[in-house]
Amino acid sequence: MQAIEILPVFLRKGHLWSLCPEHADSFVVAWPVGAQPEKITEQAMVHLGMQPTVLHSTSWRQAGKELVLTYIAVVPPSSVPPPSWQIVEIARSELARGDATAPPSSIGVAQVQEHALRHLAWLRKDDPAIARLLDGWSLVLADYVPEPFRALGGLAL
Amino acid sequence: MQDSESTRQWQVTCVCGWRTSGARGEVVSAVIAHGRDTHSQDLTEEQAMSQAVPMPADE
Repeated sequence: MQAIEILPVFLRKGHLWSLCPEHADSFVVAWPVGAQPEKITEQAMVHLGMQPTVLHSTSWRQAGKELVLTYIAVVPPSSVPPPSWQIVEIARSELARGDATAPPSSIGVAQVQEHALRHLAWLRKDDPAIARLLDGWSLVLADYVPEPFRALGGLAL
Repeated sequence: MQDSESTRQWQVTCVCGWRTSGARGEVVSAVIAHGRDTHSQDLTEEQAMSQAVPMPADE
């Protein structure tokens, strides 16, 4: 089985905020075989009443029986999430890393989000289009070490 | 022999983040119960399935 995890974030008053559903650690939707993941993600965001300005896949991981592809969705600070959702200021997190012969024992959403923001920092430096869209994000992303798309939870190679 | 429709698996994600998956009957029951218990909503089978996404059956 495969699924898409969406991490909506926004910048307001110099701080990063995440939007979190009430009854799950993150918002995860089904990803039917053959469906384009970016279309599934965009449709899910529209269904939630939010229009992302940046939508990018950042990592994938195995979570139980599911292959989970994570997308970070940058939304305008004026976005209104569903009423039950929470708005949480983003805190830094250590990334889960395995050793040479075994993956990390668990990967939490905070760690997935940390990597997603590191990837956003990478995209901001690497992609002129995203750099333009995230024009005011240089300060908040300054301390995030840029990282490319990666598999989380794999062996350290 | 069961046809593909009766063995098809479905998955639903509620706006609140709650998820369920399984055969059609299981999903409908779970969604209706979730709507009633969590959101105080009485859903029909049609409404429950309106957000369902077909998934491949487990191998």
